[in-house]
Amino acid sequence: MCQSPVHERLQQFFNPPYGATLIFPFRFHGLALVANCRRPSRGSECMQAINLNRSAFAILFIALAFTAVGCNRRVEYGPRAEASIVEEIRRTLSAPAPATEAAAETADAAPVGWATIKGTFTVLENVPEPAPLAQAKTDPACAKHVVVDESIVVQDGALVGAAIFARSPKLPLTPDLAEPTGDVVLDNKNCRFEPHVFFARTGQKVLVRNSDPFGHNTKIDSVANPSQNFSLPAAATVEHTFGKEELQPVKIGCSIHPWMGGWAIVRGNPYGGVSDERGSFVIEKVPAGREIEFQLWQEKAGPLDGVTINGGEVKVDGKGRFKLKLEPDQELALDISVPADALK
Amino acid sequence: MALAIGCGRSDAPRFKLNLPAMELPPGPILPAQRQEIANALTALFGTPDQPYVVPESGLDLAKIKLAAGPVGSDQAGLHRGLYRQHCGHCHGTTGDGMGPTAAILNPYPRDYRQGKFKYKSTKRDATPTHDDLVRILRQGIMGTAMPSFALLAPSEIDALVEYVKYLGLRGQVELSLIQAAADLGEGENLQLDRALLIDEVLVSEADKWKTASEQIIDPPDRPDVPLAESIAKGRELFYGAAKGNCIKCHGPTALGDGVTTDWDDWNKPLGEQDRDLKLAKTVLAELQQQRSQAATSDAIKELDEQIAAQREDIANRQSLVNMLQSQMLPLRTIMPRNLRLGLYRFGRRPLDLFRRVHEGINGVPMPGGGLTPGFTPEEMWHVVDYVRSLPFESINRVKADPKIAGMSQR
Repeated sequence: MCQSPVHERLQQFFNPPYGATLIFPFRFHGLALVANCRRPSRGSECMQAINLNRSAFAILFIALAFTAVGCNRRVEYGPRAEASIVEEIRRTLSAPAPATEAAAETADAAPVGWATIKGTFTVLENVPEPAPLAQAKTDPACAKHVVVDESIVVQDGALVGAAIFARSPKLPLTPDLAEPTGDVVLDNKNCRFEPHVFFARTGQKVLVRNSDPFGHNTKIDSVANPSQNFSLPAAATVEHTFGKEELQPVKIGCSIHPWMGGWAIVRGNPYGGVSDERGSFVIEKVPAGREIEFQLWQEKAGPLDGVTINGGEVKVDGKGRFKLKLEPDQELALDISVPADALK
Repeated sequence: MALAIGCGRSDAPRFKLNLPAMELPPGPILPAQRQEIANALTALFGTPDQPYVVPESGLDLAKIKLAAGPVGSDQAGLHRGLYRQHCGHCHGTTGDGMGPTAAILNPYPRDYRQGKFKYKSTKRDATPTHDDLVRILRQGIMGTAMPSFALLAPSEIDALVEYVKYLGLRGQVELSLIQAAADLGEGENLQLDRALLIDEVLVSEADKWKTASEQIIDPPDRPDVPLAESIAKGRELFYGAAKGNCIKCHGPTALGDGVTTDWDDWNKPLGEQDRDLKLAKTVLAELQQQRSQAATSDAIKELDEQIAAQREDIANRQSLVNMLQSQMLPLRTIMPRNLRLGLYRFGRRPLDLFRRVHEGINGVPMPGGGLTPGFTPEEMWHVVDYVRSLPFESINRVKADPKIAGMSQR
């Protein structure tokens, strides 16, 4: 075997006593042999050495690649806490809470009167028709219905299923609204939820029904309230109530038919609504003489901003919120014009 | 040596923020508010090495300290850092179920941060009791990678259970703060004071743990009917759409081959975004198809605008999905249990199975029969008896049953 000085160095480096061999079990003395191979025949010592070296280098390469990948993967942790602020928060937490009753009292003051809000959501531009959901076709019972993606529904320029609700906490109520009136029905019908979006007040009865001739279940993913998953055989009805206000709209689903989806707006007061198939809504007996903040919401958009109300008369902020102060017995018309761009 | 230098010395471990939840609706949460949430969480719960709890949490700091921190033992032989020694490599330092070994396990390790646990004696939405978690640690979870820790001293198991509650509560408070931050108006900040952190958020989340033992499902006795009769009745209920409707997901053969396209609550955020992205791509393909067939230049122009808008929508969705994928484990759909294995996660006692049938399983599609109108506890006992007999029922019997063989998997 030829022993050029370079080969000797290589051998020394890759063989004991050097540590490389400890990590790397292949002995590289074959390298010298490879260098001398001219036309190796199959099974010859030369070929064996070549193969050995090939596999050795392949393993070395893979190991290096793994190391590189391993170090490159960054787990995001989010911002670090700031020690001084943490200390300050801990100090305020151990101190007794300041009295906030004064603020609560003013909120409970009797209003000067009551007003009504009537409004419509309109979309002027063309919005694509809701796309049929292919997944619904996989279910023999649902295949006969046309089930579409209802995240944006516009009918003759009217935006259906958009919500409006009062954000302000603790609003006064007329005596007849002191308790929730009427029940809300959430129907499983034709492999979709009817209505797709509904408004419910805390304590209001929500009748979850199945009008289809086969089983559904209704999974209510509430956050402030206990989440629930009702198994609903054909023609069954169960009663549900939300005890607490939900900060965000609650998602509703059916596990048997995972494409089915719906939303519940759950608020602590009755001052809200969802637009019907003409895009309109009515909110009655709204306390007058005080500023009330309203929120607009739509499934696809989330907080619905970028809209124009009454030609810009009412200013809507970047979170889809606006404030109103109503006169007693006023009947305010809100014309909410939604550009197609806002529905994203 | 180069590798050792390259990776350097690591910092003290820190808790990870729930970034997917901050990115998804109702978010995204702004950077300033993420900072506030990080500050608030550290103020309330400390760090992995230096845990901290406020009295309102109802947690025992002494136990938590035993479980937290680096692994080691003191001169008295007291073991410390129990969580990192026994749990962290699967459940992760933050308790997000994303430890180094998590990705290769099926099912994935539990992410504690929603306070949602599947196997427990309590009502569906309730947290497990202290004893439920002790039982899980002692016996492990059959059919999963969760082993038994019965060899640990009872005091150590107790400390670990307390630490799991601590990580759960921390995650629940974080989610509540994310909701509160999403509800802020423009330019508003979170008021990190007692009113918000303790009175509004922590107390209600801690109450879920404190009141768990009041929500145990205590069923009436099993009806006194011969077993064979009960099994036959249970079988009817299992296959019938009127009440049980179990075959929808567990399949006509009970092998778990019914509906398998849904996700559990931990996978769902990614699953839904992924599904919506695919839907958006189908819409784009349809628009392109329409454009290739469009006749007038007006129609082409309008379609071009729609296509451009759709592309932008897809790009936004893609970047969100990419972000989620980098922060979450690979997406998995549900796997309804194969009931013919005789392998029951929380235990094979009739009582355990009754609770599953009655309350369903929290965090997954399995609904509870307890609220289904007309589904009586007696009937649920029949279902339990049938489920317990399933591993011993010949599958040929099912295949030969024309009523069942004709059932589609809808």
